[in-house]
Amino acid sequence: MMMMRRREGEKIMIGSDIVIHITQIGRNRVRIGIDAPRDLTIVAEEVRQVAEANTAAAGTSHAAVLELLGRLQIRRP
Amino acid sequence: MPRVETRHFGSKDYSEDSVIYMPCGMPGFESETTFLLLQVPEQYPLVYMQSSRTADLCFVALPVFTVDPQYKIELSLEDGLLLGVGRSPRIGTEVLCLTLVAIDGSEVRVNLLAPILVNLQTRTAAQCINAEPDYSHQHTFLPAVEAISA
Repeated sequence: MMMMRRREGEKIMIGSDIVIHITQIGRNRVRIGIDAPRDLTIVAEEVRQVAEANTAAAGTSHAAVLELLGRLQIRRP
Repeated sequence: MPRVETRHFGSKDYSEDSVIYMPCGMPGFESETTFLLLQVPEQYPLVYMQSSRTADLCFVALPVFTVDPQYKIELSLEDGLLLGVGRSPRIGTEVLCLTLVAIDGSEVRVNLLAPILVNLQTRTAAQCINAEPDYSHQHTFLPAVEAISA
């Protein structure tokens, strides 16, 4: 992986039409702006992970759910 | 009473107060913006999140405290504004907090990174990425001894 040091206000160029702007650096977060072609999908890593988890959840069978229920020992309120 | 076609229960009557509205949909399901929360008394504490638009789309969820009684949520500013709550809403009184369940073979995984939050007053809902660190989108759930209901 390529590593690069940047300060607040500086930019990174990727190819000729993608620009990463380092707009704000906080204590443990960085705010960045991205200029890129509109047809390029840009999402945070977590959003993609959540989309994949949602697809897996949507595919869960009812039989598997009922089997899970049998394993839960619930104390009702 | 309105009726909906469901994935698991055929055609089912529902009341308007079981409807939740997700203005942004969910990652991977952005066009699904209205769901019904269905519960079957014998299947407590499972919550079925049935799409009102797509009969074949139904998520299974658990109240988050069933999985992790110590669960904490911190919302992004945007999610707080969308839901009409603060950054740390009170789970159970201010918002309903559900974690989606995915089962693959004997593996049961729950998404603690991005629970479904529902404003209990307005029924507005969103799948929110928790800003609290250390929660996983595929937390292994071992319903071993006792799950405490929320």
